[in-house]
Parts: sequence; C-alpha cells; structure tokens
Amino acid sequence: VRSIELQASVGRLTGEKEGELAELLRRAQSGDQEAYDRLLRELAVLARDYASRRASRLLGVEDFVQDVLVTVHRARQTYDSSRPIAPWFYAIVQSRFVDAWRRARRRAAHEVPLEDSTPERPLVPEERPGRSCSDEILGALDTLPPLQRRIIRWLKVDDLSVRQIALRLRMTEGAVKVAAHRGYTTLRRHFGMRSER
Amino acid sequence: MKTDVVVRRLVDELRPVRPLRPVPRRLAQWSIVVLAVLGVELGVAIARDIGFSGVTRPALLAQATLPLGVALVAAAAALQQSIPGRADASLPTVSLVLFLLWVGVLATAVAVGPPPSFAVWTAAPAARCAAHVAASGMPGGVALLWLVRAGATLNGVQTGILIALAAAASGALATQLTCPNPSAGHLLLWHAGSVLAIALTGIKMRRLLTAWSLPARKSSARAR
Repeated sequence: VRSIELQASVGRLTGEKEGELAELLRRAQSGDQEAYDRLLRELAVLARDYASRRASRLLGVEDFVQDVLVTVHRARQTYDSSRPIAPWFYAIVQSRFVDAWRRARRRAAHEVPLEDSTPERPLVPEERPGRSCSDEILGALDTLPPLQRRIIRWLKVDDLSVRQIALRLRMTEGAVKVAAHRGYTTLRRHFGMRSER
Repeated sequence: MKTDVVVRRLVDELRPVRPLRPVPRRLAQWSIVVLAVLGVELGVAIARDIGFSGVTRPALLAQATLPLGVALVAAAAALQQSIPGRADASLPTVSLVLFLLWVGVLATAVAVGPPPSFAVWTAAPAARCAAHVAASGMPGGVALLWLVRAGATLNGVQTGILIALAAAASGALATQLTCPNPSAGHLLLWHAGSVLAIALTGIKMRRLLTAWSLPARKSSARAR
C-alpha cells in the first residue's frame, strides 16, 4: 500500500517541474543560495499539498512542512543528480508524515479533556459565611509551632527576606527555609490540599 | 515559527556538499576493511599454525561462501537504505534468504550426519567462537555504520539489523576459516547462532542511525 501511495505521489511531480527541481537541488548542492531558496519554497508547496490531502485536522500542517524542509536540508547530499528527484523527495515526505502521524496519535491518546482534569477539591479554600479567607489562614497559622509561625508571618505578611529573618533569629538561611517549608506542609495538610510533591 | 523563517534560516545555513558516493563504491570501501580483517585473521592463524587446515577443506570453503554472500548483500542493502527513495525489499530479502540457506545447509548436515555428541555443543571453542564472531565483525560493523551515517537513513530498525547482520556474517566468515571445530552442529549453534543474535541487536542502533533527523537536534539547529 505504501509503495502504491508513493508511486501516486510521484506521479504528481513529473515532466518539466521535476527536471527544474532536480536542477535547483543540484545547484544547491554546490552552494547556490538563490536556487536553494526557490527549491525549498517549491518543495514546501508540495509537502503542504501532501499533508492537506491526508490528515490536516490531526497534523499541524506547517509543523509537518517545516519538518520536511529540515530533513531535505540534512539529506541533500544523498540526492544523486542522475536520478529523478520525486522518489527521493517523496520518500522523505512519507517518512516524516508517518512520524508526524505517530506523534499526533500518541499525543491524542494521552490528552485528557479539560472537564475531566478538574480537581475534585478547590485549590483555594471556600469562604465560609461569617468568616473571611484571611481569617482562616491566620487561624491556621496559630496552629503552627511558634518558630514556624513567626517565620511564615515575617516571610508572607511582613515581607522580610530569608536573609533578614536568619539574622534576626540567628539561624542559617537553610534552617529558615526548612522551617518555612515544614510550616507550609502543615498548612497544606490543614486545608486538605495535596502536597506539591 | 513561520515556514518562511525556516526557509530563510536553512538558506543561510547552506554550504556546498559533496554528493554521496554510489553504493558500489562505498561497498568496495567496506569490503577493503573486511578483507583486511580476514587477512589479519589468516595471518595470525598461519603464524600460530592453528586451524589453517580448515581453509583447505572444500566443504568449509563452500560453506564460507554463504556467510560471505550474506555479508556483502546485507552491506549493500544497508548502504542503499541510507539513500531516501532507493530502499527496496529485494536486497534485504536476498540477504535473509542467503542466511537461511546457510543455516539450512548446516542443519541438513547435522540431520544426516551421526548424532552430535554433547561436547559438540559445549566444547571449549564454543563460546570462544561466539566472542570471536563478534570481535572479528566489529571493524566491519563500525566501518559500515560510518558509511551508512554519511547518508540519511529513514528506516533505522531495518538498516540497523542489516548493518549488524553484515558485520556478524563477516565475523563468522573469519571465524569459520580458522575455527578448529569443523562439525556442522558447532557451526550451526555457535557461528550461525551468533550471527542471528548479533543481527537482532542491530535493532538497538535505530536511534544512532536516525539521529540526524530527530526533532531534538532539529530544534537546536533552528535555534542557531
């Protein structure tokens, strides 16, 4: 099936056009930038046509076209100017197409619709009537050991830096961070959230 | 990124390239490496006066042509696979048929001959022959990998198997010419069996062979 498809594709690029593209690629192999620019633009049209006739909805067509052009660039030394260009070019196109198709299918299999990924529990605690969110947080802070409570207050309420707190408490910066981290973990547990880990 | 931008970058990156040499010429380059390995093997065998008698046995010489054929055809197929649009099924099929023929000849010899003793399967040169097949095939394998990577392989798995098959068959040829154990059972298990095992490890070469086209390298090239 693949070879029949390849032959059908090759059939679309025959005659003068093929000779012209082969000549452009031959000149590109010797470093002619103008010929190479024309060649890549012509090949981009053919690759776009190939993709849009097959699976444009699943593939990002422009990503696929760019992939083909980069591959043509890297494989340009393998073209033998005594042979037709169509089998060479469409072998690359077909290979890139299969890769892109597989990538798209893999991605589609792992994607989960947005509504299914909504967490069961809200990330921010719901406000209860008569009690504001900040009251709840401050209340939760009071349940922490004194050192952790003081560090988190200074960090989050008074906006002090870790260094300043370390100097005040005569602790190392690392110890301040560890105490703050433990405090955050306790707070998360208090609000019923999952740990970031 | 727009396709126009990609085209401009590729045009800016354009440097003159030398077109890839034809398959027969690259096959000849590879054959020189394999012949050099065979020459060294025979030289060592002659110097140590071990196993050289095997070369003169017509049956072994006839059998040796089959691994030689497998090696040459598989190498030609691998080199052809490195050119987009040139890969076809005929050469890989021929190499597989030759390999099966080699196995068939040995299996027939085992079947019609006297039942091989346990020692034939496990005697001292047994595992050493397997290691010898791998070691002798290594230079040819590396050379072929280098020649194939100069091209642009699109089917990494098949090309990897063909490279490993060609290398292992050339290694088996060198081993067979100098192996002191001429029994068909030994050759079937430890020579042909090793070739099969090594050929299957060629699947692991897939990434190495298609690395030129992987998206990770592509994005780094685009970023430049």
